[in-house]
This record gives sequence, C-alpha cells and structure tokens, in this order.
Amino acid sequence: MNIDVEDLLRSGMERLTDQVQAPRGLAERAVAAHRRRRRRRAAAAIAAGSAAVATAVLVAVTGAGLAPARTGDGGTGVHTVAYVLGRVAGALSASDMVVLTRTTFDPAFPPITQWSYHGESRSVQSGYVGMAGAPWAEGQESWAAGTAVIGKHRVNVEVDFRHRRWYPTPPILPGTALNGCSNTLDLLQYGTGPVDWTVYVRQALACGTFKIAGHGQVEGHRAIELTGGERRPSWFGRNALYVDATLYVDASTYMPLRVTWINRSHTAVGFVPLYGVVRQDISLLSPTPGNVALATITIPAGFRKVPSSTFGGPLYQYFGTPK
Amino acid sequence: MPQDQQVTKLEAFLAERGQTLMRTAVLLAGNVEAGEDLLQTALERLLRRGARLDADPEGYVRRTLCNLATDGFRRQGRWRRKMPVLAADLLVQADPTAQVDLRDALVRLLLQLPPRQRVVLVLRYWEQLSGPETAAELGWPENTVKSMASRGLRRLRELAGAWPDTGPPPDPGPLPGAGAYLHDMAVTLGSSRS
Repeated sequence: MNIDVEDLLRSGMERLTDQVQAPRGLAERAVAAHRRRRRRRAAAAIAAGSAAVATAVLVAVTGAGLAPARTGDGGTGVHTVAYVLGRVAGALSASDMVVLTRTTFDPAFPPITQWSYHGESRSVQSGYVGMAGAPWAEGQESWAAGTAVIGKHRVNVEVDFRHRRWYPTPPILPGTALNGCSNTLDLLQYGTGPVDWTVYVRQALACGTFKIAGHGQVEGHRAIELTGGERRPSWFGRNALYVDATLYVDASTYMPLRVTWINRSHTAVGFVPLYGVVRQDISLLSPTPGNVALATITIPAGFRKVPSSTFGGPLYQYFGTPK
Repeated sequence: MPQDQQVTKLEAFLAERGQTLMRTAVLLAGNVEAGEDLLQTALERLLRRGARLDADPEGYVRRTLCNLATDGFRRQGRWRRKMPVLAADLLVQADPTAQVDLRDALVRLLLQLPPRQRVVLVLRYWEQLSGPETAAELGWPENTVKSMASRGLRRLRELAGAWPDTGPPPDPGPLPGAGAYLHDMAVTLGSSRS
C-alpha cells in the first residue's frame, strides 16, 4: 500500500484540533500568573539582598573588607549591588537626620528642594514657568507638595502659592515600572524624586535596578557609583522611555549623595520634548527643631481649599497642562 | 501598564491568533488540557518580554511553545505530572474495541513521539514550514531538524506500512515507539532528578 503519511498526518492534525479554541479567560489567567511570578521574584530578591548583607558583614568581620565594590558588574555583581544597597538602606533607616534633596534640571527649569524626615516631607519649587518664553519668578516659592498637619491629622497636600490655594492629595506613591517593581527611573508626576529614600533604595535592590559602575568623587566625598537604565518601549512602539540613572553613595557612610537621571526619550509628552538631565543632590541636616520643621508644610492663613487636582505639580508645566 | 489594559490587549491578540496557537499547543503538548497549560506559560513569557507584543507576538509565542515543549515545559516538572495522563492514554489505545482509522492513529503516535521529533513534525506539517525555516524557528542546526523529522516519519511509516488495506483497522496496541518513549521519558525524568 502506498500511503502518503505526510498528507494523512497533516489532515489528522487538522481533524484532531478542529474544534479546539483558546479557552476564555486565558489572557486574564496569564496576566495574573505573570504578576504573581513577579511578586515572588521581588520577594526572593529582597531575601537574597538580606542574605548578601549578612554574608558581607561576616566577611568584614573576618578582615576581607569591601573589595568587591571596586569591581564591575561581573559574576559577583549582583551580590555586590545587594550589599551596597543593603548598606544604604540600613544607613538611611538608622539615620536620624533630615534629608535635603535639591533637584535641578537641564534644560533649565525651576529647581525643586525637598526636606524629608521620618515620613514627613516638603517639596518646594522655587520660581515658576510663565507663558512660553517668559522668565521665571526665580527665588519665589510657587508650589509645594508634601505632608501637613491639619487639625490633628497628617495629610498630604499640594499648595499653589501664586494663587493662594491648596488641596489634599493621596499619599505620594512611587510609580510602577514595567518590570513590576514599584520604582521607576523616570521622574514622576511631582518631579521630586523619591519621597522616602529608604523605600526607594530597598525597591531598587528588589528590582535589580542598579549595578556597580565604579567609584567617583561627589563634593569631596569618595563615592561608590551605581548605574541603572530603563528601556521601556510603549505598547504601541511610540513614546518609548529611555532613562539612565547614576546613583552615588558615600563609600564610608553609605548615605546617598547624588542621583543623575538622563532622559533620552526625545518623544513629545504634552507640548514639551521629554528629554534632558535631572540632578538630585542629597545632603543631611542635623535634626534640630528648625530643620525638622522644614519637612512639614504649613498652609499659610487665607489660602483657600480647592478640589483635588485643580492644579498640578511642576512637571505639569514641564510636560504640558493637565487635561 | 495597568493589569486591565494588559488583559485587554492580550485578549485582542488571542481573539485574532488564539485558535491557531492553541491548536499548535495541543499538538505539541498532547492534549487540550496540557495545551492550555503550555499556551498560558508561553503567554506569561510573552508578558515578561513586554516589548514583544508590538513586534511579532505570534512568532514569539510559537517559538516559546516549541521551546517549552522540547525543554522548559518538561524541565518545569509539568511532564512529570502528565505522566499518569500519558500512561492512561496508552491504556485507552490498547482497548481492542477502539475503532480508529490510520489518520487518527498517526496523530496519536505523533503525540507519543519524543518532544523534539514531535515539535519538528508539527512545524513541518502543521505550520507548513520548510526544513530551513523550521531550523531557524527552533534555533537548531538544519541537520538536526532533518534527523528529527526523518526519525519521526520513519515511526509513522512503520505504523502505516503495517496498516491493512481493507477491513476494520486493527488495534494499534502498544504503538511502535510508545514503550520506548515512556522508557526514554522515565530515564529523562530520572536523570533530571539527580
């Protein structure tokens, strides 16, 4: 018998799967499973980071020191980053200092200064962008966001000094990166960087955002340089985000010193091209009553309360007016 | 991207290409349940890659299905859980009352071939890919693809050669290669545990 096995096989496969359909809910199940997996991986990374810190402490006690931090991101790079970021998170947690973060932009944009202390924060923009081409009102406080005590409650607020108004906001949360880590390298709505550097660094550790790049000098401090990048192609291939970040950490105290964000997206968001360099310089202030008070917003008398989102943060001006 | 949006986009993709991919997954995995499992795993991989959805998601998912079927899926231990199902399938085929024609017998034998042979035959005769295209799809040398296709077809031809010209088809019994397949699988699983 001369049988064309290949044809029979082909038609047999056709017949066997004739009624087969992709089951309903498959997409939902796949997305849910995907997210569960990411959460598990993030938890595992945190656990790995803790283990790395413990190992590194043991090595330090036995006299081996911190030699791995000098290396690039070779085979031991992950552990080295985990060690450094673990130390940073530990140093921040143990610190009782007021963290002062100064954010400057290039191309020029009104700078933002932030004071944070144990969950309280106050971000203030000095100057504002007027009509296109108009100069800023440099030095004049135009906008603030952070925590305020109203009555006996601590609430998050935004304040518009120019128009003498304010509104309560939901707590400022870190953005969510595509890789599932609640931590993005791009500047968020408020453009003020992380509100809580401890949270930020722990998330960076969990997300594997950074790798060790070497050492550098920041304001006379010997610093460990960590670099990270995010390539976030959009779903439709437009408005892709390309951001590189460099984090400098004091090599002896492990306190963060500076973060530089380079946005090379060159795609229009609103009316403004989304690109440029944002630098955040971090310094520590002793927790005197005066410095601690800087981390809380006081709404000036006479300011009227308006509905939430009546006005936006500084990056609304940077990226276009809110719709 | 919000979960709902991700689901919506994935659903749109599956509405268009889901059936084709599901059919391939069933042929690669051996049954509908395992095919669903396989396709879901491939979609998870697609989501992990993110960018693939706006490139060639179907190609990526198909390649992932093949890779999972030949390696990852088995390594994940899912084949271990499917073993009783495969064994049960063989028992059903040994039923003397089973009335199957050669075409169905061929497909059932295909499902019992070693994963690499099955993947090659599915790509060649279901996806209609040429030898070089199959090699490119799987990332294997062309000679490996030829060899796998040749071995798989040889087994199928053995079955067809023994098939009577007339009358009711015989019980395929323990199909050629099935025992060897189970033996191979047991060896593979045994070695994967060590």
